[in-house]
Amino acid sequence: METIEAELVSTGEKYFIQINDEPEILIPVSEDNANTVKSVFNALIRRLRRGPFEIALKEAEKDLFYHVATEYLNQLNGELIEVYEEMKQYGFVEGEDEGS
Amino acid sequence: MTIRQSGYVEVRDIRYFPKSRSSSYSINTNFGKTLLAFIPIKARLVVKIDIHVHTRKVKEGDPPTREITPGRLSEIILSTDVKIIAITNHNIFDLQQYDQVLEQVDGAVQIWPGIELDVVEDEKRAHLLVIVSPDKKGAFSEAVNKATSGCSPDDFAVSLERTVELFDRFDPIYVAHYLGKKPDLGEVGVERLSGLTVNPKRIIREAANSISAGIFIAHGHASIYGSDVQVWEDYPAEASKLPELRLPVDSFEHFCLLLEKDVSTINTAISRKQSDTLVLQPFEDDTKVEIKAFNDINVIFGPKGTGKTKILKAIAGHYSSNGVNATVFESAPDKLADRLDIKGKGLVKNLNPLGINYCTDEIRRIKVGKEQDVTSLRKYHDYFTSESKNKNARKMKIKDLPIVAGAKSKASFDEYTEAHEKVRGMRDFFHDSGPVAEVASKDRIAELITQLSSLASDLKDRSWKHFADWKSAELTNGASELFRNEVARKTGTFSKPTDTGFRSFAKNRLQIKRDACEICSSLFAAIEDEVELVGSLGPEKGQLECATSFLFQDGTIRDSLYSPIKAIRKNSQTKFAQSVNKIASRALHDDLFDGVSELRANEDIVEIVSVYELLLFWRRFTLAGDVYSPSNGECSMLNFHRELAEDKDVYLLDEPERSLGNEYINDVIIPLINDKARQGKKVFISTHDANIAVRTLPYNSIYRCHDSDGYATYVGNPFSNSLVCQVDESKVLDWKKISMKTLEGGETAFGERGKIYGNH
Repeated sequence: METIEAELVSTGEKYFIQINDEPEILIPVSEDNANTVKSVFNALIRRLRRGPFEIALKEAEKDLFYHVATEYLNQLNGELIEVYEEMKQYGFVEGEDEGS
Repeated sequence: MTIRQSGYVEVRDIRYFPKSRSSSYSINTNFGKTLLAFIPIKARLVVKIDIHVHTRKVKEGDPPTREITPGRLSEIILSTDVKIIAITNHNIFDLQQYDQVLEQVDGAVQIWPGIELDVVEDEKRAHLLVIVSPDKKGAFSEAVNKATSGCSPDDFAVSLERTVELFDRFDPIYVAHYLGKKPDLGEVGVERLSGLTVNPKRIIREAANSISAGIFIAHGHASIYGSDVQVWEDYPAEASKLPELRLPVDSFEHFCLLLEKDVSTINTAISRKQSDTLVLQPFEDDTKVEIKAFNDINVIFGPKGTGKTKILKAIAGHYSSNGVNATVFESAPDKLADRLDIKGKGLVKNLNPLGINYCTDEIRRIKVGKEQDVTSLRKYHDYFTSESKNKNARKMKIKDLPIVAGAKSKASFDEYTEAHEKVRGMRDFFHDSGPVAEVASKDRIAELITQLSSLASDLKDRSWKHFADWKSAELTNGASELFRNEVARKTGTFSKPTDTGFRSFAKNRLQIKRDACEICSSLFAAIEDEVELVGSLGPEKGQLECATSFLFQDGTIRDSLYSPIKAIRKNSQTKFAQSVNKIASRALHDDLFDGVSELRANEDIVEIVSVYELLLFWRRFTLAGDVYSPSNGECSMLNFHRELAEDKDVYLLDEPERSLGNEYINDVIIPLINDKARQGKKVFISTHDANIAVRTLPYNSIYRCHDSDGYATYVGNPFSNSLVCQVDESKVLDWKKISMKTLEGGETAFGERGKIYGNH
C-alpha cells in the first residue's frame, strides 16, 4: 500500500495538514470549515481510485495541532482503507469494471 | 319451368372449385397463397363429381393410357376427392368391368353406368353421354349391346331419335358435348333432344372446362364438365379441377332430383347440415327475427338501412350469451391500425426478460439523496484541550476506541445466510421431488441429501462466525459511545471523536454514484425491435409487418418519431436523464448536489418512479424494414385475413367486401369463406356484394327489405331459388331476381364471365 507524506504547515495563525500528493491536498486544522473538508474528502475518494494509500504525518513539534492532526490522520487512514475496499467491491477503482 | 331456369338451379346445386385442394390455396394470386399459410386448415369434406370417365381404349383414336384395370382405377379414384364417377366409354358399356370397379371401390365411390355415344345430328357427328342409375345397369347393358351389335365402336353412330328411343326408359341424364367441347351437339341439337326426351330437365351441356361451364350457366343453361380422362396417371392432378358438390348427393336418383330442383329434396339435403334456430330481437322494437343458422355460409343482404348489421350484432349477442366467441367483424380500413394498436395506447413492455433493471430503488434513493456531514475539527481541538483535566475520565479508554468496522462482517453474514438457505432449499427439493425420485435411486438421493446437509451445516457455522464479528463490532461501538456520552455528561470533558466522517461521507457519495450509474446502464440498454407479421401484400410487395422500436431517453434522444410509453412529458424525460447523467459523472465532486437539485425540480419528478417512465417507442407498419402506409384496400384485406386467421366457430362478417376489388373478392375472399364453411364453421355475412352473396352459394340467405308494409325479413336459399317472408309465407320472392336487383354487381355475378368457376 502506498504511503503519502503529510506535514503540518502553518500560515500565520492557520494550520493545515498538507498532503503531499499531486495535486496537493490541504486539510484546515485550526478552523472549522465543513465545506472545505468535504471538498478534501471528495479529492481523497478520487485519489483512492488509483489505489489504496495511507497518510503519514511527518514528525513535528508536539503541540495541540500536532496531536489533532495525528489523531485525525490516524482515524482517516482506517476509514480510507474501508472505503477503498468498498470502491473495489463496486468496481470504482481504476482497472476494475467501473460503473462510469 | 323453363329449361333456362332448370339450368340455373343446377348451377346452384353444384358449386365448382376449379383447382385442387392444394392449388385452391394458391388461388390465382400468390397473395392468397401466402395469407392462407397461416389460416388453420382442418379436415374438410370435399366431394367432387366426374361425369365423364373413360376406362377403356375402344376407338382407334383413344389413347392407350385410357385403358385401366379396375384395381388401379380404384386406387387412383380413392386418392382423390372424387366420390362420384360415371363410366362413359365410347359406344360400349362393359358391365363386367363396371362390376369389378364397383367391387374394388367397395362403396367408397358412387359408380354410375353410362356411355359416350356418337350421335348424328343434321349430318354432323357429335358426342352425347347417357348416364343411368346403377340399379339399371343390367338392362342398360343389354340395351347398349343390342344397339351396338355388329358395329365396332369406331363405326357406331346413332340418331337423337334412336337414342331417346333406346335409353329414355332408363330415366337417364343426357350430357351433350356443347360448343367448345368437340364434337359438339350444338344448341339446335340440344333443343331437339329436349323436345324428344320425356324429361328435358335431365339435359346438361358439357363444357370443356370450368370457365366455359360458367359462361353456359350464366346464360341459364345447365352445364357441367368432366375429366374425359386421357391419361390415368395424371388423373389425381386433373381431379382437383373437377366440380365440387355443394349439397350432399346420395345416389343417382338424388342427383336427378336436385337437378330438377325438387324442393323437398333440396330441403332434405339442406337440413342434413347442422343448424341452430335463432330467435333474435335485433331492433329497438319487439320485432322478432327467426333464422336458421347453418354450420355453413349464411348471407344477410338487402338495401342499406334495413338493419343487417343489427341482425349480425344480435346473432353475436346470442352466441356470446351462450359462451361462444362471437364478435362482429367490420372491415373499416382504420380498424387495422386499431387492431394493431399502431398508436401504442395500450402498449406495454416488460423489461424483466431483457435483464433491464427498472431502477425503482435507485431512483427513489437519488430523489431523496443528501450530503453526509463530516466530523468537525473543533471536536478534536476540544478533546485535546480538555483531555487532561479529569484523571478518571482519562482512565476510561473504552470511550476513545475508534469505531470498529462491522459492515463487512454484516455483508459476509448475509452472503453466507443466503447460501445456506439455498442449499437447504435444494436439499428439501431433492427430498420431495417426484421427478427426481423417478430418475434417481433412493441411495443416490440419500447421498445427495447427506452431502447438501453437510454443506448447509458448514455454511451455517461460517455465517455464525460473521454474525459474531458483526454483533461484536456493534456492541463495541455501542459501549464506546455510551461511555463517551456518560463521561462527557458527568465530567464536562469532551470525548475523542470516533471518526472523521470520511467513511459515511464517502459511502453516501459512492451509493449515489452507484445508483446513478445503474440508472444510466439501464438507459443505455439496447432493446430489440418487436416485429409482428400483419399479412402479405402480395408477391411484389411482400410481407407487411408491424414493427415497434424502443429506446430509453438517455438525455440525447431527439427523434420526433418516438413517443413516451407512459404519460410523461418528453422534455421531462430528457431533463431527468440529463440530471442522472450529471449525478453519475459528478458524484465525487463538490457540485454533485447541483445535479440532484435539478432532478428534484423536474416537472414530472413524482411520476418518474422507474426507468420505464423514460421509455420511448415508435410503432409503425413496415415493408422489408421500411416504413409503409398501407392503403385502405390493403388494410381491408389484412383485416379480413386476420379475422379469418382466428380459429372460431362463428364468424360474423359485416361487409367484408368494403374497399376491396372484385378480383380480390372472387379470388381470395370467397375461397376463404368457402373454406371456413367446409370446416363446418358458421359464417354470417352481411353484404351488398353479389359476388359474395351469390357465388358462395349460401345455405341460408336472409333478405331484409323495406316496402309499403314496412320492414320485412325473407329467408331462403339459392337452391330453391326462393325467399319466403317470415310473417307471411304466401309472400315469396325470386332469390335470383332479388339478388340481381339488390346486390352491387348482381348482373356480373350471375353474368357473362363465369368467374365463379375459376381461372383456367
